[in-house]
Order: sequence, then structure tokens, then C-alpha cells
Amino acid sequence: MDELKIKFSTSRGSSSQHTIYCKRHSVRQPSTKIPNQRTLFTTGWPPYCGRDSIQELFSRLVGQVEGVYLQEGTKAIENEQPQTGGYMIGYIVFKEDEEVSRALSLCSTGSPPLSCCVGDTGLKKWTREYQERYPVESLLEKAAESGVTAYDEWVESEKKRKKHLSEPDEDGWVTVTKKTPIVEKPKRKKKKPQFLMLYAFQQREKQRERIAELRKKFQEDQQKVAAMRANRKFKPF
Amino acid sequence: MKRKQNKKQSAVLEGKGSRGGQDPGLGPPPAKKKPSGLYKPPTHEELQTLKETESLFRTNLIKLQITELISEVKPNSSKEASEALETFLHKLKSELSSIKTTERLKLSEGLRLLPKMIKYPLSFPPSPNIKGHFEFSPPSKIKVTGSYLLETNLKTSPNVNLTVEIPRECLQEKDYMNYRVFHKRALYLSIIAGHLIKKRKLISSLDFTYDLNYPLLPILTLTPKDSSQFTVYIHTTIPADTFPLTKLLPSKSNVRRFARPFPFGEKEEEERECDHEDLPPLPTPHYNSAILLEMGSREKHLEELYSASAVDCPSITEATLLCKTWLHQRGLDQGYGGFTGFHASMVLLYLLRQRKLNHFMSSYQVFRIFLQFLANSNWDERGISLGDRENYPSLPSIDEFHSSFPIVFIDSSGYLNLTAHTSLHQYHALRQEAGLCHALLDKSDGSFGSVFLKPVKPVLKYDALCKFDLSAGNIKGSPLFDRNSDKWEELVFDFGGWVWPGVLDEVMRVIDKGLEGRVQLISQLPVKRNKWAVTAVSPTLAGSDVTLGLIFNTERVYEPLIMGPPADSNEASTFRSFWGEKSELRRFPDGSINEAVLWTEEKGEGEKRNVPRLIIDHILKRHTHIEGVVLTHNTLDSLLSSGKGSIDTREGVSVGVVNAFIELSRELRQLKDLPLEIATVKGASPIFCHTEVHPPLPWNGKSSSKVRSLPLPLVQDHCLHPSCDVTTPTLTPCFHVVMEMEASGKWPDSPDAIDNIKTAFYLSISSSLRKQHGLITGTSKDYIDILKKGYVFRLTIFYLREVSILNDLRTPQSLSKAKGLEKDCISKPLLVSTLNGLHNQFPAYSLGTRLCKKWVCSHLLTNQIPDEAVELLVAHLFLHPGPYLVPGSSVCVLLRFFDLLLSHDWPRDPLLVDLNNQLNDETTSEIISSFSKDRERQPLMFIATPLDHTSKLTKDRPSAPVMGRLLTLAKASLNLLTNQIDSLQIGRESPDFKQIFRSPLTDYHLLIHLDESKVPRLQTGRVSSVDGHHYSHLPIVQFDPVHLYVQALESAYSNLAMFFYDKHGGSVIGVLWKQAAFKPHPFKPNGMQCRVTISKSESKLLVAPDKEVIISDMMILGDGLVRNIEVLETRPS
Repeated sequence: MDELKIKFSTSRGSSSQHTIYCKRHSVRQPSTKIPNQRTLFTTGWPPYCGRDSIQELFSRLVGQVEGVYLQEGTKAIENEQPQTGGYMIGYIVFKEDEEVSRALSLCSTGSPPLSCCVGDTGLKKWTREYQERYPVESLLEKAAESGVTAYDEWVESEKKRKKHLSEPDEDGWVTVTKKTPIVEKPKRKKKKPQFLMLYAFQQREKQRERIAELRKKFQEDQQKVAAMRANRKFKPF
Repeated sequence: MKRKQNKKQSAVLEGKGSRGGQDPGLGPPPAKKKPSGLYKPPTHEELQTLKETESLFRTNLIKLQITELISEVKPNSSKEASEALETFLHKLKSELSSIKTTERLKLSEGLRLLPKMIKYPLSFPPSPNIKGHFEFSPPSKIKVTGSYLLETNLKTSPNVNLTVEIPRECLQEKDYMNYRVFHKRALYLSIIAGHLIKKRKLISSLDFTYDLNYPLLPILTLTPKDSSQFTVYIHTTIPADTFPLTKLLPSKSNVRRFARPFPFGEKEEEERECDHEDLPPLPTPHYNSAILLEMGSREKHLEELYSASAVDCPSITEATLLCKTWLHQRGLDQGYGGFTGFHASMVLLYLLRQRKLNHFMSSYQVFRIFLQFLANSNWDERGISLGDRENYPSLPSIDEFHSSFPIVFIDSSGYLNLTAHTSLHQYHALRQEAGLCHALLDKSDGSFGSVFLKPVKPVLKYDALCKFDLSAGNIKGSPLFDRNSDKWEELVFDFGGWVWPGVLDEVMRVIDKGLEGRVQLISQLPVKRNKWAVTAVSPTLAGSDVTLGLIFNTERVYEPLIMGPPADSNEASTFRSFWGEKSELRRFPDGSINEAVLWTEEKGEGEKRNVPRLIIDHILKRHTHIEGVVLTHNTLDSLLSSGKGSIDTREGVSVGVVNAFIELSRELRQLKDLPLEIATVKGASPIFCHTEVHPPLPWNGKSSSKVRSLPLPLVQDHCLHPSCDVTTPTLTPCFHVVMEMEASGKWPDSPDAIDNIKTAFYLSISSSLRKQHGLITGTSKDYIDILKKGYVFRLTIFYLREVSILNDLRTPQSLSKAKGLEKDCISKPLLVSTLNGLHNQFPAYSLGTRLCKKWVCSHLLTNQIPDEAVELLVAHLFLHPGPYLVPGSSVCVLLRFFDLLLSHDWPRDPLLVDLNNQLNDETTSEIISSFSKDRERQPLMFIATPLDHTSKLTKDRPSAPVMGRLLTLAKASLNLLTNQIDSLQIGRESPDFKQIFRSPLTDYHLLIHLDESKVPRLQTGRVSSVDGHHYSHLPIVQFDPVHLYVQALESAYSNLAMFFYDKHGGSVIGVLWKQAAFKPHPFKPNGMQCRVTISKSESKLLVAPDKEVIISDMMILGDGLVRNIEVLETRPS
């Protein structure tokens, strides 16, 4: 792991110097979006640091940046996830392999920290978010409508696909898909009517049960009181 | 025997495991195997015990608990100790018999016989006018009496009563007159004291005290040197036939006016110049009963009690211990006129004579009957007597006693009223406690602890404590206590110059009348029994500060109007003379004209809460000249008021919000062009159950000049927006409303699509509300904000199936979203409506809850303890008041809240809050067993309700350190507030009660100081009408930068630190590092917050979080809000 010293500063003058750990990205199954060789894997980005700031930093110092992907864990990099305000891992995808090397060369010890400007934080960010919460209604409407239409289309296509699958194709094959099995509820057995006090042994049995029950309760209560005594609960004064 | 049984039982327990799995079905028993464990054949004795328990003790648990308790309350009785005590008593006896006879003197000069170092224990010397002689000769009998022989001593005050009989030669026929017998016994005891004080080897301390706290009956109290566990009291007695009993009837007068007691130092010249002999004699009932007590009663009582416990009903001994413990825990046996253990045993004797007890009863049954009897007794109207009037018709009738004493309980002689000193109020308190506990015994849960184990503290018991100064100087010249009246003289004679009990009775009568219908119980708190060294002067008996405990009748206590009789009726003048100039003629809506007293014109509840104080203040001033009354019930209410100096606690706002909400939901249902019908509209914020700490004022419609509406098209949508450059506006909170639509099959199956459909709904509802009802609304993706009557309601739509759809997806995000939905849209509205029920049922609920929440928040625990948990804890106080009545004032709720936090055994017991009475025994035991099965994994503060069996509410919070801090704070607050209330004194500056709401800031590692202009303030001012307002846009809703900042901090650093703040203002955030997280650890790609390299080698990279970096990041995260961050010096951990 190499260390990149970066000094983040806001437009209002506060600043904070961080150590960002980085290395060349290499995993067994790289995704198309984040290829192995030309990606710089970095970790330790503070929550107020946006993608734009990182892109700006590396395109200024290294070269062309194809994309920056920020997330809060190493898992599931397929989908863009909403940020929850934690510290982040960043995948910085460059155009060329050498640019990664150049980026790593910035990590040499003793070099002054890189400076990086961050966007809105604190009060500025919260006021902006407040405004965004009440968007223009026509835009909101449009977004909702398109969402619903997209869903409708998706449902339609799903239906078609399934229908398509269940029909034999040119060669006469039918794709069999997994269906959720219907769980059958276990049928309730009807209780047979019992004659309770028919035999003498039943009577005896009942008596025995009663005594056992009494004993059991007695034991339980004894345990309870023993526990209370152990916890010194009988200290009235 | 007991031990043996235990052993047997444990053997049984072990045996149980071997057969545990087998299901006892209907089949024949396995005949060949030898039955063991639960199924082994029972012995006759065992069967007997098992069956007996059921019939005698209701459950095993009670029986076992009682056995345990009895062994705990008895004094340690080792053989050596009791032998040592016996030897001591023998030695003492021989010492007493060896005192030499003295010369014979006139009683009026008797003080010459007083040994040198001893001070006379009566407060006045023998009057020179009295006749009679006195000489000391050794006691004719010395006997041990009282509870020691009955083995009913309590651990708290183990004592031996030694009764010495004054021999006949010291007494004269007419000694019952003019305090003669009291002077003689005082002298007698003084001479004994003079002898014993020299025996330093035998006795470690020698004091005087008053028997029954009655100042004519001093007794000696001494502690033996070697067995100091016991205190020995030396009483005197005189032969039972010394005086004729008929002379000592309560109506008889035995003090002539010439013998008026003048305390030491008070000059006799004050004596009034009138002819004594012309005035009628004054009855001296208390004086007479004290003589009766001296006449051998103690021995006789002992005999009776002994035969009762030894012969008639053996379990009386144990039952007496239970009664004594019960009385002691309630403090009912304390002070002048207290109902002592002796009284309790006499009641048991009475019950036995009445055949209400029998030989076979258990102590538990006896105790129950005792409580029931007391609860249903009315000794103030129809007293009871142990005397046998059927066979001895010459005995005085009970009515004769009723005219002299408020409470009547006659002993077997038929002449002595055992409760002569008990006041009506003390009796009422006793009866109320008995009724309460009798009802408690029938409940299955924890009643045992409430009845016997938990001391009932006055500050927790009473809704208000009332203090005033009743010293002699203060009441001088008041019409009620005219020094020249017969009433006053009667008190002076009857109590030997000590008028205080009588004065208090009169004062209480006035207060009773003034507070008629407003209180359930008034009771005077007992003054501690004090003893003084025999070499010191007896303490003054002038009562000074009086403390009364009041239990409110919450329905009526704050009524501002006292309606009097019609103006032309006969009672009008009585009414007017009682209330004085406050009484006015008023015309009422029904046309009648009545006398009435109006205490306040204000509508606010805060003002009304002052009414009881105003009443007591006025009537005491008017009738007794007592100035200055303190009442504690609303001392803390100003914390909930709108501004400095105001006492308006804004109950009206909650009502206004609820009304606006009702109107809004009606309007919602009227909306025409919705695709689905509305099924339900529910409130989900505390304001809907009236537990919002600071109910906000309606928005005044002005966009405060400091807020600019942005010049963006957004303003077309009628929304104001905050800006970061200026002061943050006062907080306009929103109230959450959850709406459910009717069921429909058209909802989509994907969460995203559901969200989109909801947004579409919001848009259409929003525009319909605008069009149809002219309301101002703001639409967001996830909710609508609706401005109604100056309040903002945030409406969300809830679709029930969404929860299961999200749960089926099983991704972390979907699961947490499902949980959130369940909490916000199902649990919260349900809880709110349930708690609203409590608010309707108990008037003190809402204010009490608000005060408790305020306390929690003011200690910066806003985000550490869920609000709902506090609400449930307070609900517990109302639903399970334990040994108390339901609390009736906010201070009482707060104090009991502390007590609940401290006395509940959180690690071992779940707290069950039985909302709506829905927890049956089965569910309860289910909850308990699942709780104790896996305690470690359960929440620390486990609160189970019928709505939530597993305490989901407190799953994550409070954490262990917070819980610890909460308990520490509660303990400190309880102690401080109790002390402050106890030490309240008239005429002195009242202590700063708000101190318990100021949190110490020294316990944190960091303090984040915020820019106060950016912290949203609470609205101040009074509730104003909003009817005239015309609103043109939505205010800035729920914009609270502090909350947002803490959220940001928590999501970034929850693994490294804890954050503490107060949402009701306060510009400090406290930070506590989680020290364990700061140890160096190997590098991991995930969660690298502010790490720096500690050491680096080929194979290993060690990193650790850096506090400096975190602090500078905290600054950046709170840019614009944070002023500075203060690092506190190393905190003492």
C-alpha cells in the first residue's frame, strides 16, 4: 500500500490533511467498468469529498481520468449506491496504465501534501439539500411518470419473455424455469374425542400429573426465591 | 426441618433431567422403571405441604418470600448475644433495686431531690400550688414488657422495654390530679438516671425520650455496653388499682386552673388575673389516658398478646412482624400519634377476639385480613373496643370516647383509648395505605416487593409537599388561636403546655375545608422521634416547620373557581366569613347568583396549577396569620414554559394541533379526484399524544426578514428556503401523519415503482388540497408538507405490502428500509394513539412525560435514548404505580421516574408496561422466559409492551455506557431534588430546583461549540390566534442544522465516538471517544477513516485512527455551524 498525503480544504478556509492509501487495482474478476490495470484503488476518502473534487485533483496532477467510483465498501460495485455519510473507497479509472504508475509516484515519501478543494459542506450543503427536497413540481411529476412507465414497460417485457420461454423455439425446445414451489399448509388433523375419565388408570394418571405440576411449580418458585436472595433483594431496610 | 426439605427438593431437581424429554401422555405409566423425580410417589407430609400452600398462601412464591423476609427483618439472635443481654438485664435489675430510699419532701419542692447532673425531663416544674409528698423507694416490681418477649422485634430498632413499678408508698390517693403523678414519675426516673449515669461500665449512653412522643411521659433509654444491638427503655408503671377508673374517663377534668403549667423560664406573672374557681373545669382526655396507660396497662397488654400468639393463633407472631415491616416501610409508625407495631398487634388481638382469625391460618392470611379490616374500618365514626361491655355494662360507651378523641380503639379495660393521640389525618393515611396494599396483594406481579420491601418515601408518595411555619410566634393573635379562649386553655392543660398537636389539628381543619374536593389525602409528615442526654434540657416542643403531604384529586385540584351557596341562602354568610374578601357575588350562565371565589382569570393550565397554593396561602393568612406557604408540585413547570418568567406550559398548543389535524384529515377525505379512497389517517408524532416537550407556536406567516426567499422558480411552489449566510430561523417543526389508502391490486411489485406511484399520489393530493381547500403545500419526492392553521403536517403514504416486498428482497438496504417503515408507519402511530389514551385517563401524564423527556435531553442524551422509551417508562409509572397511587403532579412523576430507573433491576428483569391491560399471565411468562433465556443478546433497557414483546424500541439504544450514565445522573438528580425539597424552609431563599437540568460538561473528551446564531431557537411568546392569518407560502420546515450535523457525525464516526446533544437548544455537542477503537490494527481496505500509519514492514501495515485528523474533519463537516472544538484535558475515567 502506498500513501498519498492530501490536504482537503473548503472555500471557507478550514482544512484537514489525510493519508489516502492506494495501489494498482487487481482483482480476479474485474468488471468492465473498473478494469484491473488502469485503475487506481484508493481508500480513506472523507465523506465531504465528492467525485468531482477527486476527478479534478487527478486530472490536474496525473492525466486523463475516465471515471471515479466512490463507495463505502469493497462489495457490490455494479450498482451506484446512495452515500450514507461514511468514509469511502475510490476507484479511479485512467485512460492508460502509465497514468496509474504516475499517480503512485506521487506517493513518494517526503513530498508535500497535495491540495484538494472540496465542495459544499456543512451548512451550505444542508441548505442546498433542503432546496433539493422541494423540486419544481413539474419536474417531479415527469420523473415519477417516467419511473412508472419504465416499470410498466419492464413488466410488459417480462411477461413477453416468460411467454416466449414457455413456447417451444425453432428447434422445439422449451426452457424450463424455476418456479417457486407452492408451500402447502399442513392439514389440520381433527382431534378425536376422548373419553376422559373412563378408566381407573386415567384417574390415577391425572392425579399424578397434578402432583407433578405442583412439584414443578414449587421448584420453579424456589429457584426464583433463591435467585432473589442471591441478588440481595430481601433487604427491606 | 426446613433445611431437610430443601435438600429433598434439590434431589428432586436433579432427578428431573433424566425424564425431562418424555411426554407424559395418556398411556399407562412405565410400570417397570422405578418412578423418580416429579413422578415419584409423594409422601404424606409432602402432599400436605403442597396442598396447604395453595390454600393458605395463594402461591408457593409468596410463602417462600415471606419465610425469606421474616428471617431478614428479625434482629440477629445468636445465642451469645441473647445471653449477654440477659446478663445485662439482670445486672440492671439489681442496680435498680439497690437505689436508696430518699427523704420525704413536699411535691412542690420535689426538684430538690433531683440528682446533680440530671436535668428535669418535664418542660415545667411542679406548681407551688399543688399538694402531695414525694419520696423515692426502690421499685416494687421490675418486668420486661413489649415486643422482646413476643419475639416480634424488628431489626431496625431492636429494643427491650423494662417496666419499673413505682411502689405504693411513693403514691397518694389524689395523685391523678394536677400533674402530680407525672411529676412523681419524672422525679422517679431522674433519680434512677442519677444512679445509672455513674455506671459507665455497664451503660454506654443514657438519654431521655418521650413515650408515644407525648411530653408528659418521658422515659429513659439506654444502650448496654456489651450488647449494643438492643436499646433498653425504662418505663414506669403504677399499681393497677391506684386510682379509680371512673375518675379517668375522657370527659373528666383532672387539672385545676391554678395548676396551669408554666414552662421553665416563663414567668408566672403572665397568669391572668381572674378568679379561677368561677370558670368551669376543662376536660383533659389525653392527660387521663396517659395515666391509664401508666396504671399497669403495659403488663396486661403483654399478657393478652402472649396468650394470643402462644395459644390461640401461632402465626400471629409472624403476622405481627409482617404488619410491623409494612408499617415501618410506610413510616406510619413514626411521630406523635403514629400507628405503631403495638397498635397493629392489638388490632390482631381484636380480630382474634372477633373470631376473624383462627388457629389454622397462615401469617399471610392474617396479614391480608389485617389490611382488609383496616381498609374498611371507620374508627373516626364508629370505633372499636376490646372491652367486654356485654358482661360489664358499667364500662363507658364508645360514643363517650368519640366526643373527646377523633379516633377510637379501646383496650380490654374499657377505659384506655389506644389511639388517643392519633389524628384524623394520620388515620386516613393509614386506611388509604391499607386499602392500596390490600388491592396490591391480589395482583400477581411484583406486589410482594411493593408491599414489604420498598420503602415508601414521602417525596415519591405525595403529589405535593406543603410547608409552612407553625411556630408560636407566627400564629400569635390569629382569630383561630385566641389565648383567652377555653379551647386554647384546654390544649394547654391537656398537653401540659404543649399546644402544638391541637394547633395543627385546627390548621388542618381549615386546610381541609379550603381544599375540599381537590385532594384525596392530606397527611402530616412525621417528625422524627428525638432523644436527648439526661444531662441536657428537654428540647423545646414548639412546633416550627410543618410539612404536609398532599395527594391530589387530579380531576378537580386545579379548578379555578369555588362555587359557593346562592346569595340569598343562609350558608352564604358562613361561606363569606371563611373566604373573606375573596368571596364575591357572581352571576352564572344559568342565571343563578352565587357566592364564589375565583382564583385566576387565566385560561392557561400553568396559571391554574397555582390555584392550590393560592388557596392555602389565603386561608392560612386569613385564619391563622401564617405567612408564606411553599407547595412543590409545580416547581419545575417553568422549564416547559414558553419563555423566561412565564408559567404558560402551552397545553393549548397540543390541543390546537390535534384540532387542526382532525380538520385536515376531514379535508383529505373530501378530496375528489383521487384514484384510491383514503382508508386511515393517523398521527405519528408525540404532539398527538400531548407529550411534545415544547409544543411550537403556530407560524406567524411572516418570512422573517433574516430569511430570504430565493429568487428561483422554486418560490412558485410556495416554499421558503433557508440560507447559510444568516441566522437560522426559529424551528418550525413538522408533525408526521401517516395515511393508508384502500387496498388495491394495482400497486406494483417493485420498491422503486411503489415510490414513484407514491410521488404521483403526493403530487395529485397536493394539487387537490390547493385547489379544493386553498391550503399551502410543499411537495417532495417522499412526502407532502401541508400548512394548516399555522402548523405544518408532513403526510406520507403507507402501503402495507411494501414492507413484505422489501423484506423479500433481502438486501441490507431493503431490510433497513422495511424496518424503518415498520417503525414509522405502524409502531409509532399505534403507540401514539395508545399513549393518547393515557393522556385522557391521567391528567398528570402529559406534563410529567414532558418533564422527564426534558430532563433526558438536557443531559445531552437526545439521540442516545429513544423518546418513546421515556414515554413508556412514564406510562409504567401510571399503569403500575406499585406502593403508591397514580402520580398527580409533574414533580412527582419526575421523582418516580428517577426511582423507577434506579430501583428496577435492568440486568435481571424485563420491564413490563401493560398498555391497555393486554398482557395476560401467559404472554407475561412467555416474555420473561424468552428474556432470561438469552439475556446477553437482549437490549439493556428491556421494555416489553403488548405492542412489542421483544423491546425492539431499545434494541440499539441506550448503549451500556449511556445506560450507566443515565443511572448515575438519575441517582444524583433524585438525591439532589429530594434534599432540596426536604430542606425547603420558609423565609429562606428557595433552592435552585433547575440544577438537576444542568448537565456537567466535564465528562467528555471533546466539546464542539456551535455558532449560536445557527442553532435554531425555540419559539417564545404566547399562543396567538391564527384565524386571521393569510398564508402565502410554506415556512422553512424542520430545518435543524444541529440535528443534521449530529447525523453526519454519527454516520461517519459511529465506530469511533459517541455524540451527545440536546435537541431543545444548547450550543454544545459532547463527544466521547471509544478508546478501544484507537488501538493500532492491520490495514483493511474497508473503513479507513482518518487512519495514519503507525508502523510499516514488508508483510504488515499497522494503522490507527488519528484524533487530530478526525477533529479537523469534524470542523469541515460542520462548516458554518461549528465555532470551535475544545479538547478537554484527560478525563478521569
